[in-house]
Amino acid sequence: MSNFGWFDGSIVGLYLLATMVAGLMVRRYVGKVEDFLVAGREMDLHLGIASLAATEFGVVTCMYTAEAGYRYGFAGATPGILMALAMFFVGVTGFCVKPLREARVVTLPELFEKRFGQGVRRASGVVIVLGGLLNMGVFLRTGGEFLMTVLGLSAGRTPQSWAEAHVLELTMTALLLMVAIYTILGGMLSVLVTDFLQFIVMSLGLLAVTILVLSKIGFSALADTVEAKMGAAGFNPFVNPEMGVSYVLFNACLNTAAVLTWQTTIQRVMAAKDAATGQKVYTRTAFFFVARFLIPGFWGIAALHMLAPDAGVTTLTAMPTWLSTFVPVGLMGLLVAAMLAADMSTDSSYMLTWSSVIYNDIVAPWRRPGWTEKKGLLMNRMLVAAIGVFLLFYGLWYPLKGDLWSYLGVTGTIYLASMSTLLIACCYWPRANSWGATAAIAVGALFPVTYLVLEQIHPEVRKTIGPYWSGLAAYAGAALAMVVGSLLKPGGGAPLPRKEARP
Amino acid sequence: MSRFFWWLLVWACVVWYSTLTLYVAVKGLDDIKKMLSQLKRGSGPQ
Repeated sequence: MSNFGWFDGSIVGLYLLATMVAGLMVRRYVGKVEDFLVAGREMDLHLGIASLAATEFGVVTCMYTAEAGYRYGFAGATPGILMALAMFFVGVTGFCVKPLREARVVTLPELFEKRFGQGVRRASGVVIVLGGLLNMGVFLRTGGEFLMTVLGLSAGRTPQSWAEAHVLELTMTALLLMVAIYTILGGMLSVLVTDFLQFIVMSLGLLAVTILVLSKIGFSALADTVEAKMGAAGFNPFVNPEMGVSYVLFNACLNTAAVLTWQTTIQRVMAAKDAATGQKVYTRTAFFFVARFLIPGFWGIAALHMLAPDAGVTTLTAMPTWLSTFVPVGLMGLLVAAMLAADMSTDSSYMLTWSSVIYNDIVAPWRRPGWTEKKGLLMNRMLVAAIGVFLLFYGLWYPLKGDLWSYLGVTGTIYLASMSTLLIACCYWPRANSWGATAAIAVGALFPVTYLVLEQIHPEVRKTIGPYWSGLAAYAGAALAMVVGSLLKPGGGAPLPRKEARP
Repeated sequence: MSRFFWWLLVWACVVWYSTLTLYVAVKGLDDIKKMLSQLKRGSGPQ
């Protein structure tokens, strides 16, 4: 039985109303495609921090980080520490992101065209969209499962009607429709303004529940549980038999590549008013990525501590099942609003991001020279809507196998391995050229796609090869392919324009 | 030692995240106002 009551429902309703009003109000400021995709490049530091944090924390994040806490104890927060270190380093040094912002591009493939030609731009666009959409595919169902469990709608009930049997699908469809409406109309402007609101609501919910856990259960009790059930493996990833060196290395590569090339992350750099602001957004948001893993991970550990061994939960549903009875009335409304905020901010940014790549880099060759801004805006809006429809069907039907973080890691690697290699080579290796870039894209996608297919046909590959070694092979293979391919072709690519030409 | 490390990290997250939320809540609103006024000046509402 859940603690969700009418008072909690009112909090959630108020939050949804405020989000829709804020998202729709700014649509009138969208006049050009640049306004729609990168908010006219007028985003300043604090809005950037709020938007980046809100976008990169979805319900899906909460679920997989809590699952990591439930399965691996405190060691499950290791990817967050690695990501924070990578983000801080990139923010301080401007490694790759400075030349990227100074080139005044909208997407990574647009930058690659300057060095490697139009073919690489299109191929990069396809790989980015493929990896991104597959990754995003599990967001909807996972978010829905969290909400259904927390609201007490998923367990021990016999549905009386079609609507009751499909309450998850109907709820998530309604939520996606709301997000799609303001994203289609306001683009990046609506995304930034709603992200700001969603960041505040999400943070209040996350902090309130964490403080409640610390005051009611306490750190020591949770650490004792981890020690009793996992021993040193619950605190140190290197001695954990399910993690080890391959897990840490894979996550170091994955998170560094994500910081450099994950389109939703770097879109905040592109939208920043200058390169220095983009770098500051990175340095000041870096530590958030520790919290992003550790706070829900801590909830996962609390679920491990509180739930009986025969509670009938999976590693994924343990945390929401426990929360549904632990969080009191009032705070439950804030928690659900926080999770809706997290989900909506992620969905809106992801829909806009992948549509921007499709428009900018895949559809671009077919765009007529005389296309007006109005036509460009219409095309972008249609693409956002199409991604919403894809998300609805793929997201609700894909059967997830293995743990969630591994799935996200493997699908993300489809593009992260090659795109990070291309970006580093594009910015810092004068000898890099189109042969190397093409080879890196092919090899970088080959390993994770093969692994995903094999996992569906022969599930035992999860034990024999595992997602971490296949992921590491993709990063090493992409880098090697770039070097070999570039050296085989005589001559380097065109130099990258560095100077920022700001009106 | 590792227990102390994680204890410190959990509390650092709570303190730092609370501070960031307050700071961004106040300053972010100014950023939105500035961004919208720049866009209004640049191209005018459509």
